[in-house]
Amino acid sequence: MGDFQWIMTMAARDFRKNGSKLILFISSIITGIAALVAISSFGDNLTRDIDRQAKELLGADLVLSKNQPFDLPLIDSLVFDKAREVNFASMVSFPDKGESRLTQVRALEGAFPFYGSFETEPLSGEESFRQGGKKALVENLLLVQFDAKVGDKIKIGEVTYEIAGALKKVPGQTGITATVAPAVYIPMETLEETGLVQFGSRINYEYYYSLQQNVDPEQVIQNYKERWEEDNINYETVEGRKASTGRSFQNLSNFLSLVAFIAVLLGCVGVASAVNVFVKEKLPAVAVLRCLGVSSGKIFGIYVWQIFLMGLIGSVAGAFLGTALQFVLPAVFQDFLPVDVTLEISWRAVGLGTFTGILISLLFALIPLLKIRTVSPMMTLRPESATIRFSKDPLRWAVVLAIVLFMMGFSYYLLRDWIQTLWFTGFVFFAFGVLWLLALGIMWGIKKWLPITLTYPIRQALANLYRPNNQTVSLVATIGLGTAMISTLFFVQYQLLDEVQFADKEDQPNMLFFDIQTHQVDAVSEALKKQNLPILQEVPIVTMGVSSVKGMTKKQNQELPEEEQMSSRLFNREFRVTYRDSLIKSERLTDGELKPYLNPGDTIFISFDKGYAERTDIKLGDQIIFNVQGRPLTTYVGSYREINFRQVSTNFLVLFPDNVLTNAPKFHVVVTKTKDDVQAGKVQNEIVRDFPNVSVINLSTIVETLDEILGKISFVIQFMALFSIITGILVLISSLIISKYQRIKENVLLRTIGAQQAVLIKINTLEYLFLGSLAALSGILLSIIAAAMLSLYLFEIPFQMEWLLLGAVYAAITCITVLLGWWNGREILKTSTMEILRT
Amino acid sequence: MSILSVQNLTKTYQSGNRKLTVLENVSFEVAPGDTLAIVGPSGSGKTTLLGLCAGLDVSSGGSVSLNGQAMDKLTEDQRAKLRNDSVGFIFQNFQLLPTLTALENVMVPLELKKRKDAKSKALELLEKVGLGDRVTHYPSQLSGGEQQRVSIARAFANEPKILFADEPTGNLDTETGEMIENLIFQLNEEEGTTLILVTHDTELAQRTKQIIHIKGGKLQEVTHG
Repeated sequence: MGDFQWIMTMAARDFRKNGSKLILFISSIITGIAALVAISSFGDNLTRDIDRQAKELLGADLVLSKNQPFDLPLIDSLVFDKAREVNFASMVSFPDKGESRLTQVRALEGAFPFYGSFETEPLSGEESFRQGGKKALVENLLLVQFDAKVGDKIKIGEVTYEIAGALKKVPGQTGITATVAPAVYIPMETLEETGLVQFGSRINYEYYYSLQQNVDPEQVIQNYKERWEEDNINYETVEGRKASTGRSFQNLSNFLSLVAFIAVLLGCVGVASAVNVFVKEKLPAVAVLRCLGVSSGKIFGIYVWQIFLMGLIGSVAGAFLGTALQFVLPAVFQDFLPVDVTLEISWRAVGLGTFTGILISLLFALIPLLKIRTVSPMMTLRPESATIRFSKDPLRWAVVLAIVLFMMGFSYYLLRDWIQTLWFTGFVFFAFGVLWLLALGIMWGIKKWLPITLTYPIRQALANLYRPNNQTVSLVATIGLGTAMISTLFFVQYQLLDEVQFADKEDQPNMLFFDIQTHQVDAVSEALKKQNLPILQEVPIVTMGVSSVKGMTKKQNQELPEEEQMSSRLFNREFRVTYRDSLIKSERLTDGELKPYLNPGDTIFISFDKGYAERTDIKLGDQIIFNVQGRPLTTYVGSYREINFRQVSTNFLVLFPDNVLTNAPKFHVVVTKTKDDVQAGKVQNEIVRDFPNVSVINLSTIVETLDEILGKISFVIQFMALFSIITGILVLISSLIISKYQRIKENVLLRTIGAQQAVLIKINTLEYLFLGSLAALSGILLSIIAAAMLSLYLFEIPFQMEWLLLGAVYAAITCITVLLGWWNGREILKTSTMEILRT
Repeated sequence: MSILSVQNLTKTYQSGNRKLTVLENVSFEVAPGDTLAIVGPSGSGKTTLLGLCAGLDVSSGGSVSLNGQAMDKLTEDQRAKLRNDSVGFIFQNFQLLPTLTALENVMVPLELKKRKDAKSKALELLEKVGLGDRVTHYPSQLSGGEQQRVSIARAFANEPKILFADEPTGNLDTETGEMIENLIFQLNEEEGTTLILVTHDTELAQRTKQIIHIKGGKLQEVTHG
């Protein structure tokens, strides 16, 4: 028998007796690998489907758009068909229900979409709409919200339409788009009659082209690109949309793969911890083999083979589970998907998951397994003979380094960015480090200061946390990190919602009316006053673009070397500005001063939002020439303001002094505060009924929408983070089974010396209560740190504790731990006291 | 020529700042086929001496030469090879591999030697120790005496030149212990093996040709059985 064959034979012999235990060790990686393969497969399938259904993403070969009417390119000879759309935000009301809501109105002319189709209910809805007349296609979500149905009436501006169909799907749009701005399609020929296209209305003009078969849209773009960019005309082709959609989903899939990878890492911590116990049990056998003359390499081989085999089985099982699991992912992602996803096995994902599982589980298992090399044969004579300490074994350090490198390599493979890779790896180490130190610290503290005054069951339960072969650290790390992830997501969601809702708690405005024409201002204000509502702000708004900055036009700026160019955002933006000589509550002057414009011919000094000025590199004293409805207006930057944007209020990046824009074409915004949602709804419906062109935003609508969007996003992430919790539970179950024999011995001993069942149950329950609490509280502590950092540095909102949420997470995790511990303890308690003689 | 030569053997352990000498300047020689017992009170250094003689541990001073090979010049893996080629062990607590059957436990040293007749030879040895009908049993399914018999069969499997036994009857009742003693001496005689055993049992020690008395890590006297 050759050496290799002998190693395999011995591994097989050993596995025969240990197999079930080893399978248990490896079970903790199955869920992580399953999550990784599922998300990776789904990502692959989605990318492929985006590719296949690329044209349906856009619905046309080429789309041109601008927020003003514009001259169309002379490409009729290349065009097979074209369609026109005018879209804008406007209130729609349901006269039968007496309710209204802000929507995205889309007036359509032509056969758009050229690829794909509107999915309506009933199916005849689209045909009926295209036959003309006052018929509208309304987003299904909107109908559900107002309990309206096909055939009901919907009023847009001055026109009442019949609802011809509920829109289920529009090419390229997702559930999220529908949540943010539900669409209502109306025929173009009825647009004028609505009276909504007025001066100041924020309207977008879009042209959809279906090109002749042999025409390459990219080629068409090349000829016009420069002119369109100069004229601020946006253009988009199938390739462009495909690339941007593909990129977004690739980013999402990669991000979620990293979340799944954390579950894999947690599983590996479980593997390492279980292998550690396994190795401890094996040390006497290793010493015997050394006595019999087996080299350390061969003995090491016997166990590595078993671990490798288990890693392979675990990874393949995880990969299959993941492949099956991807079939539920469309339901999880339904609100984000722009295309129909067809599910197939992605061998790339299966390969990636299996390879990752085997390698990472083997690497983690090697940390305790390498101990086998250093076992002295003297251990057969003296069982206490030590192995080399971890810190003195260079090979084990090399394995730790290999794990770090693999983690970095894996994250880089997904992120393709070294900075993000370092952040991710750093975060994982920080999180594990915090949990590890906490667990060690608490165990050390209990050992050192466990008060003798505590009752016996409590003392014994606490002492069990640091018993030999305990799994306290690995359980705190795995369950704790899973808890931290779920809890952080809830935390952030609540923080953001709280921040928005907070505005209503103070004496802040909560309702905003816009698109008010100058001649309507007094009437709208009067209507509000009649309802006893205060007019907190009445603000005129003038729209304008930028012609030049510091003497440089957009074209001149683009010709400069890239590093010298100013931000193109300045030139492309349509500024909505107001004028006044004083600051409002949400503003604070940080630099310069507000200089009034007193006499014609005076220099006009404007004020910029400090953050925006810094981002676009605008300095005090810079000259900016605006284009106000075709007329140039030369201004200079006179001051910076710091603006608190987190209020339902009118805030402006650019503020003009009084007397400059008085005669410029403008529209108005009125801001008020309602007492409650009932009053808000009543006022909104009344204003929309009397002034159909006026749009309304109220705080509760914002909160509702935000809640819905955050809920959808966090559901997806939590779904993936759930795998970490499941992994933590699997690690817990495997550790319970591993320690069963030891627990039986302890329990039997205690019963032999007279402990009653009730005491043992109490000890068992308390031990898991402490363990669950320790893991949950460590995870919660980590989530507080993470949520505080995200709130303060990413979202820039004040951090608030969410005691109720934390309490719920703590209770859930601790309960699961106690229940599992109790379930495991039943059999242990049943064991006969005779075992003490037999063992 | 001796099969085992021990010269000025010393073993010290570092315990914190303290140096602990557990064996000091021990010297003796054993001729091929001889039997020798190491006796002494608990903590006297018997087991340490056995471990050093068998190449399980390395000395702090002096030398051990086993079958003509200086142990201190060999690496751990070279010593393992030497053990597989020339040494057999019997332990107080049997030290069978719990995951292997009785037969497989005996086969291991033969397989390591790449012997094609590993199975038949192991079966033959198990028959010899009276366990022909227990070959497929795992250690946990055997009594103490049976386990020690498997251990003896394993020790003789690789036809060792020297056999080390550490309190071979220490965990057994008197009757079984006697049976095991007889088996060891019988096989030893049949195979012409050198036997070194550590024991508290003076009767057992008396059955060997030479007895080494150790106390406090020092050789007190050498008597003849």
